[in-house]
Amino acid sequence: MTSAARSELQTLRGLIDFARLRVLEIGAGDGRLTWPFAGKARRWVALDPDADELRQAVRDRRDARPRVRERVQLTLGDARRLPFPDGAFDLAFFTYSLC
Amino acid sequence: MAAAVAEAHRVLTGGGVLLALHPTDDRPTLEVWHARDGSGAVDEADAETARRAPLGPLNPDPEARRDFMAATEALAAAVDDAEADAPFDPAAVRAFDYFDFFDSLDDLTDYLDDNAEFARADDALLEAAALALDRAPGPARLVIVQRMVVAALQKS
Repeated sequence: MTSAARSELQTLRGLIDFARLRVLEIGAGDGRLTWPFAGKARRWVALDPDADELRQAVRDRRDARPRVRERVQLTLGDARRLPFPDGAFDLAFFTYSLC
Repeated sequence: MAAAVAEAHRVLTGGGVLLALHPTDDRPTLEVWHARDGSGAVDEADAETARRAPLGPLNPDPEARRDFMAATEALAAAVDDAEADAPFDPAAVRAFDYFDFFDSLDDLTDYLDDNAEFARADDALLEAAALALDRAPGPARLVIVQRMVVAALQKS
């Protein structure tokens, strides 16, 4: 499982409390930033357009704690055509994917 | 990018937050780090205490750099009432340094070969890196330092 950088985690934790939020992570890749935060969220959808990256996320998911695994949904998709209804999320998190 | 921001706006609830994490368009730099007492390998936890010697900037891929700038511009447009179809209000911005560590010059060059879309190093910089590793008083590591930004916008 690849891990997030300490500076990255500290900055995000100082900026956002993910507790009880419905989160859409856009560009989740292999889930590097999914696993450290998803356990606090009410629901966490990790979306990426790259099937290979998502396959790695599926493999890494086995190492995640059960409460994290049960909250995370891994989804193949395009940020420009999100397969979700209006108002479905409290937080849209672009992880290196807006550029 | 505007389409992705508009889609994010659509799927967010009222008052929901768009969070965007990406590199700035600052050039990444190469440094060599070693412990001040010459013992043990340094890592990110030692950022404040390690002896850090800047070696010089890397050459970012022009297209990647344009993408980073465009991401910043897309977020600025999203909070511009005159321009945004799917408006947000600015909430917060934080910047930080992201560190990539390499135990040898070979590790660094392998990484740069595999990530040419990120940055390249010229020969003079690689020679300086080799020299710095040789002259370090103890275990030393090469470190790419990339400035990052995370911006939070709230759905209007």
